[in-house]
Formats: sequence, C-alpha cells, structure tokens
Amino acid sequence: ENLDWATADPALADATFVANDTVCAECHEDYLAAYNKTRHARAFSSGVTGSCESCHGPRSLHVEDPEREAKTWKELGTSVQSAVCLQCHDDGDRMHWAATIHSTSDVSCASCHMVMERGSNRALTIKEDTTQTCYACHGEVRGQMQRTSHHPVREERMSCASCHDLHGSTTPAQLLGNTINETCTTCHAEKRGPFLWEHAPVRENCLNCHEAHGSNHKNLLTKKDSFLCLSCHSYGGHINLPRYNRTSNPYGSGCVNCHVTTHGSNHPSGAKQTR
Amino acid sequence: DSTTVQTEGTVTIGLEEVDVDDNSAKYNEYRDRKDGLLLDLLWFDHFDSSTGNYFEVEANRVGRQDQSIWMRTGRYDGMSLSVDWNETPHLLSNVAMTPYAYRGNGFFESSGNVPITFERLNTVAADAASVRASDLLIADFLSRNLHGTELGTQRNRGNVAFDFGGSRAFDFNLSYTDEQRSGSKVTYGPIGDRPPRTLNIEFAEPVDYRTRDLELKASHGGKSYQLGFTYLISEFENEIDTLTWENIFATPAAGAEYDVWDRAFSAYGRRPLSPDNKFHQATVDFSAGAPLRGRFSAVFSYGTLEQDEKLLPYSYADDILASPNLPRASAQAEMTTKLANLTYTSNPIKSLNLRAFLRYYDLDNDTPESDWTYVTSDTSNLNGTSSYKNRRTNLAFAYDSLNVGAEAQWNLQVWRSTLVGGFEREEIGREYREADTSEDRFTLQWRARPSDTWALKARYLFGDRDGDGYDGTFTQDSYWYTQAQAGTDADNPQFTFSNHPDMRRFDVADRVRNKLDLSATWMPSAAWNFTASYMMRDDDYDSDVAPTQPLAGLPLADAALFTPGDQLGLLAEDRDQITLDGSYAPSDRLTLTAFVTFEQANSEQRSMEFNENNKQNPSSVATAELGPWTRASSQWTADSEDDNRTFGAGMEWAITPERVTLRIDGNWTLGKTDIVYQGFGVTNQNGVPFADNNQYGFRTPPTIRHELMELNAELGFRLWEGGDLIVGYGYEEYDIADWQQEANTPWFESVGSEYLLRDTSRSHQWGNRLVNMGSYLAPGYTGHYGQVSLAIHF
Repeated sequence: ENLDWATADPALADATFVANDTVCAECHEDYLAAYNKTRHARAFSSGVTGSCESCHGPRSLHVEDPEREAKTWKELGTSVQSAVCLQCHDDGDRMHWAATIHSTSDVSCASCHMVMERGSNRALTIKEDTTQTCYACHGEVRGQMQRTSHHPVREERMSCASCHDLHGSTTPAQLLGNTINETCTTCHAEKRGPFLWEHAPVRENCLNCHEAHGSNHKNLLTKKDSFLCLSCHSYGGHINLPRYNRTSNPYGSGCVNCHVTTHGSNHPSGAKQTR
Repeated sequence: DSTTVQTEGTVTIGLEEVDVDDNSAKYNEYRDRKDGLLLDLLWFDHFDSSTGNYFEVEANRVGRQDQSIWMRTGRYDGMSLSVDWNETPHLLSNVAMTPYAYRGNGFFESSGNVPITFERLNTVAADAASVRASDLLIADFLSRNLHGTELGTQRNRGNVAFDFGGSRAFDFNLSYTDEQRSGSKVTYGPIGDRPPRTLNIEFAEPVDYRTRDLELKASHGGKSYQLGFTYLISEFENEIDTLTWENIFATPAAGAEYDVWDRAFSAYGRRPLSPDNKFHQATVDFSAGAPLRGRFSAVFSYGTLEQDEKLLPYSYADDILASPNLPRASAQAEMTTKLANLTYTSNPIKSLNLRAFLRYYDLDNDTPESDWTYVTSDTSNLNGTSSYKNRRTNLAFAYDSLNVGAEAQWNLQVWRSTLVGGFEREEIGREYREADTSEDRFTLQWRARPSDTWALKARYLFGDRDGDGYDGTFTQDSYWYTQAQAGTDADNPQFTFSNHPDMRRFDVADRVRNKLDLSATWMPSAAWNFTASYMMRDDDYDSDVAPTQPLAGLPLADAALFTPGDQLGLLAEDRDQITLDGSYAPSDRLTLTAFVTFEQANSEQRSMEFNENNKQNPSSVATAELGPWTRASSQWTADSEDDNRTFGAGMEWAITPERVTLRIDGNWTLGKTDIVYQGFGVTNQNGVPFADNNQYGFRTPPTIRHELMELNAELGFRLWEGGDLIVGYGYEEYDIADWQQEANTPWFESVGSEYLLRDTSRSHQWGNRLVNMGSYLAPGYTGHYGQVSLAIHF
C-alpha cells in the first residue's frame, strides 16, 4: 500500500514524483558507491519496482529548490519510517508488524536496519549481526548471556532470531513459536512429547524452571537443583528437605538424580518420573 | 553504475594455536578451538545487474565442529534458493569416568560387579564398620574398573529453502530442515523401590536424535490486505529407544545378601529414552486495513502432537510381577493445540494510537487415561505384587489461556512525549492442576525525546493474579486404590493429601507483581552515545494461607488437627537490574565501547519437614524429629540471592588508516549464588542444633561462584591492497566454586575417590550413595589462544 506522503510530511503535499534516480545522483553521488552494493540498489536495478523516491517521497519541489525544507528521515518519526518500508515489505510475517510490541514501542525498521549502505553481510542490520543489533537496545540480555549456563549465543551458534520473530510475532515476547514451549521444542524436540506421564508445569511453560537468557545454575535452571523442586513439592519425608540422608540430593543433580524424566515419562512405571 | 557485474569476497586462512588445560570442557563448551590450519572465513558475493542474478556465500570456521556455511542464489525479481549448514558442539566434560562399557543401542555393561555386604534396613547403626567396609569394596571396584567416557553432543543442522519469488500478489516458500544430534549427556540410573533402597549411578546417556521439519508457506497480497498460509510438519526420531544399564551391585558377597528385605533388585535397570514424536501445525495469517485508520491482524493456528511409542514392561524383571499386563501396549499420547490471536491497531486522530488484542490458546490432551500398577525402578516385592500406592492413573493435563487487552497512546507536545496506558486480563483454565488463574495487568508508560540528544522512557506495570480456589486434592484423581486396599497405612495420599495443604505452587498461586523499567539515552554528539537502564520486578506470592483441617470428616482420631497455616513454597521474588552502555568515537579512526550490567535476584521459599508415613495420625509423631505435618517448628526457609555483574569494554583503532588496525575487547563476568538456609535442618524442631552428619542436618551452603574473564586482541596489517595479515590473541580465565560439585562438604564425602560419594551420616541406607562420573565435570581453566591469518579480498 503506497504511503500518503502528504500526511507524512505536509511539505511534500504539492510535490510530484520525479521518477528518475539519475537526477538524485547528480547531487547525492557520495552516497551511491556504498548504496549500489546494497540489496535495495541491486533489486531496483533488476526489475523490481522502486527508486529513491519510493523511500524518500515525491521530490519534484526539492529538485526545483534543494534548499526547500522537508522533514528529515529522523523527523518523519518511527511509524512513518516503518510505513515507508512496509510499502513493499508487508508480506510474510511482517504483515503483523503493526500488531507487534516493537511497533507500538517506537521501534521502526530503521532502528535495526540500515538501507543506504551494507553494514552487515545479511539482513542489512545496523550492527555486524542480528544479536549485536538487538543488544543495542536490550543491553541487559548481553549481560545475562555471559552467565556460565547459557545458550550458545555469545559463541555465535545461535542468535536472538533463533527464538524471537523480530518482525511479526503477535506473542508478548515476539516468539518464533505460538508459545514459549513451541519455541523451545523447535530445537529441543526430544522434550516435545506428549508423554504418558506429563509434568504439568513443564507442559505449560518451560520458563517455570528455566531462564532462557542465562543462569548461574546448570541447565539454565532458575534455582539451585533441589531448591527449585522444593518450591512446589512437599509430600513429606525426603521430598521436603534439601538434604535427607536417604537420598543423594545435596550432590549430583539433586532430585533429578532419581527423578530423571522431569520433562515427562513414557514408562508405565513412570508416575514419579524415575523412569 | 547500476548496469555492472559486482563480484567481491574475502578468504581468510589462518593458523590457530590453543594452550588450555585439557581437563576443562568448559573452554570449548560450544566451540571447537584447536591447533591447526583453519579456513576462518569465506565470503563471496556476486551480482549481475543485467540478469538480476546474485550468488552469496558466507562460511565460517570451515572444517571445524563449529562451522557454519550459508549460501543463497537467485534473482531479485524471481526465485531464490538458500542452503544453510550449522554445526554446534556442546562439550560437557573431558574428565568423566565410568565403569560401564557401551555395547550400542542404549546398552551399558559393567566389566564386573561389586561383591558388597549390604545390610538389612534398620538393623545396623550408622557408621557401622561393616557398612564402611562395603563402601571400601565399592571404591576398590571403581578404582579397578573406571575409565574415561566422552560426554557431550554435536548438533548438525541443515536447511534448504526455496522461494518461488512470484510477486506480492502470490508467493510460495518451501523449507526443509534436517537436524541431527549425537553424543552423550549426563543421566542417572536409579534401581530400587524407594530412596532408602535406591542404588544409583551417574553415567552417560547416549544421544542419537534426528528432527526433520518441512514447512510450506504461501502468501497473497491484495491492495490493502495480506493473507498467508503455513503448514509445518516436524518429526522427531530417537534412534535409541531404550536405555539399559547393568546394576553394578548385582553380586552379593559370599555368605551375605544385600537383598535381605522383601525386594527383588533387578540385575539391570531399564527405561525408555525420548520417544519419537510428530508435530503438525497449520496456520492462517490475515492482515488488512481497518476503520479509523486502523489495521487488523489475525493469526489462527491448529496443531497436533502425537507420540505412540511402544511401552516397555513395568520392570526389567517383568517375569516376577503378579500383574505384568499393561492397560495398553503403546503410549497413544496425543494433544491438539488451537490458537487465535487478533489485534486491532488504530490511529483515529493524529495524537492518539489505539491497540486492542485478544489472544487465545488451547492445549487439549486426548491421551487416554488408564489405571496402571507399576513397580518402581525395576524393583518389585518378592511375591510379585506392588504397593497399593503404585496404583496410579495418568492424568491428561491440559490448559487454555485467554488474554484480552487494550492500550492507548497519546502523543503529547511536551518533550515530544508519548503517554501510554494499558490494561490486560489473562485467564488460564487448567485440567488437573491446583487452580485456574486470572490476572489483571495495568501498565503506564511515558516516552519522551525532550531534545535531539535525549530519549527517556519509564514504564510501570502492576499485575494482580488470583489463584483463588487453590485445591491440591486434585492429585486424588491420580490414584485408583480403595480405602480398604490402603488398610490402616497412614501414608495414604488419595484419602488424606499428597502435597502439604499449606503449599502453594508458585505458577498457579496468587501473585502481586510490581515492575518498573526506566531508561535514558543521551547522544550529546555524533561521537557519544550513552544508555542507562534500570529494571525492578517484585513478585509477592502471598496467598492468604490459613490453617486448614485436611483430615476433617474422616473417621480418624486426628481429624480435627490443623495445619500451621504458614504458606509453603515460593513466597516472593524480586529482581533489580542496572545496565549502562556507552560508546565514544572521537574520530573515524577510533571507537571505544563499554557496558556494565548488574543484576540481583532474590527469592524466598519456605517448606517444612514431616513424616509422610503419619499423614493420618500426625499426633503419634508429635515429639519425633521427623515429625507431624501440624508442627510449625519443623519449617525451614531458604533465601536465595543470585548476584551477577558483567563489565565489558572494547576499542577499535585505525592506528595507521588503511594500514594498521587494532581491535581489543574484554569481558569480566561474576555470577554468585548465596542460599541463606534457616530453620529445621540447622536445628531440630526444638531449636537444638543438628550436627553436620545428622541425617537431616543442613545449613547455609558456601557461595556458588562463577567468574569468567575474557580478553581478545586483534592486530591487522594491510600487506597490499587486497591482503591483510591478522594476528590475534585471546586470554580466558574461568573459575568455578559450587558446593554441589565438590567431592567433600559437611553433608557428603568421597570414599576412596571422588567417584563414590556418601552422605556424611554414613547410614546403612543405600540411597545416600552415588557412584558418579567425577566432581567438577567441567572445571575452571586458563586458556591462551593465538591466531595468525591471511585475509585476501577480491
């Protein structure tokens, strides 16, 4: 859907499209060397409809009078910036861009992507890769990813986009899957089940027990082994204490030493998830 | 020139040298740094504007187990094909030891058995000489039979995606992903019917997984709407269905028996590994322009999860069971998921934006519920029967959630600010859980750009979750014995209670949440950029727990007794986080960056010790250490504090422009966990201190500490127009202290070696021994890394 440029910038209300990029190049040649290596420049030179004015609006008045004032890209504001991009990129998951948390939080496409030069080998991100781009705003996650138990993001074997759909997810945390568990089992399909004996909090939300962005405890657990289990389990006897001499829970992996199938059991003797 | 052929690329070949303590798997946990030649980078980019064809390749660390290769080709106005290959190691240990030999297909055999002298339950005092002699026999067995075992996995994932590249009006995409994961991970092999009689061993579970995903996507775009359809088929296969391990304690010493009570231990333990499963999901996406300068988005999704693996018998020694027949031969587990997400956004007037949403998700469990009579951990009574309490029904847990909310944003003239107010209600209904929950969330947010150099944001959220009607007795549905079958047994979870009635499981309990986010960004010039942010989240799980009478109405002498009425479980959590991030680029030649993150997370939990064997008659153990569920003085608390600090800094300096560049970056991370433990365990119910070797003794454990320091430097020399020499050095130091990974603490000790741990009570009860693969499977290290590379650009 073409943008209403007159609304976006009243200074363009009376302008028309020049529709000739060579006119732009006469004055803005300094941008072109870098721009011509971008996917946009290549696409526009390969038959894909688009030009300078696709993104910068009708510029006939600007050509007539280069000093004539119009809004800068920054002054257009985030919603208009995104609307410019969505003229062409409203397909796929981006069809839901307007519904996303990013969109309603003053984030625009240009917050993460650089169009006028190739700042990265893929996806035109403003930083060298997706993860570093996300860290520009989500700096706290960079700190969390440094923890001893972590997903291999800092080793560049995963990126934020491995779990988050940055463009069009309608879930609260912009997840790739419909739910947290659907997202986690994309890679951890062995825990997907369903199982004969379900562990209900596991089925509902992996984050009941795990910190996806990093933890001081092994296996990304939110708490130290048996202290996590004891947050919910108080049956009596050994299921009540972090140390009880008939069980080995202060060492090894705590309760999991015996209750090895905490994600769900498929054994007919698996009611207590020891099989 | 827009009518040219563009071809460029880089090939970086280097020599990598690593000097690190081989004992630590942590250094190469998720990477494959090792001595040798390396194709570090291959990047190739070709574009021909006359045809519109392009071809791109990016490959990193080629030939190593952490390599990635990506290729894409196609036409900008037409079809495209991409191929992606990624390998990820997950190294767990270089020092793990086991007495087992792996025979393949999940079967582990010991090279011998331990001729030990187990003692009859309750007949020998703790620390008896005969018991310690048995431990020494095990230690001796291990010293003769332990050998190294690999511990870690390798994940290789390949993806091929084809985009038809039709037009905005119609597009079609097909993607196939094949992922294989192989290796081994830590597991345990408990054999025995209950904790006192559990023979346990830590060993390496083989991993041989394959997941294949096929995804078809089609989309159609109209003048003011888009429509999409996606179908995903995901199939998981585990090439190893069953894990079988030999009981290393299978041979009693001459003239002695360890199986002197009425239990038959199996010579082997056996359990199924992750079952094959299938996940199918169809999704329809729709988005269109809507009234009041609005947009409407909708996602509808339907999925099925299926798992029908053949079930193992109740026990490895199934032939001795009185009732060996299973209710069904395979799992027949099936779930369906439904999702509907609807969002309407609008900009009715210039200064107002509206957003309203509805999110519905339903997970329905169609797995048949059956009555099982199981034995525990391959052990059964000698007469083949099993406890009445082992008559259990598999409950088909299911849930659905509904979130409805709205948000309004006012754009104000003052400081170019935006004021946002929002409300959301969440309702989650659950089958076979303690409570349905409903939560009201209110948000208030203010964003402003008072000048071109400042951006400010403040957001406050208040959430009030209600778990009213919390009812822990739903677990009764998971038992199918009769009161007559239970007889006079006082541990009778179906007709008394399972969890302590004062327990509130945190995920379904009441919760009041206060969350505050503040951030400020200052960009005084193009050279400077600072961001500071603060997050505070405070969760209070107070659920107004009051004393109850869980036995009320039962014909029992203790029917009128009350619980203490103090909430058990997770009581509160709070988290504070400060992040500072800055960069300074005084010139094109120099960029400096730094960041700091502080995060402190605290939680409070409470529980209590009581004897499960006296649920019906707590007064009979009123003075015993392992006492009644009525006694508040048997409660304990644990306050956990996770403290994390990270500091990072970097510099990129073109010492001689176009000739010599220097990049340096470093990180320091400290993660600490303190658990302040008080109450029962430190003392008995009367406040008398327990010794560390008391069977219930516990106290505040030592601080858990992880510290990582990384320093990387890279010096680049331009040798000629298209060639760079890169010299890199990396230093890493990792320290770890974790009482639970030690070989000796006040509560457990090693016997002979770190591979046999024993509770310091030195009880005759075998559940307090653990044969393990070693303490600190991935210990600290100091590592040096050097690389000399030649990068050729073309």
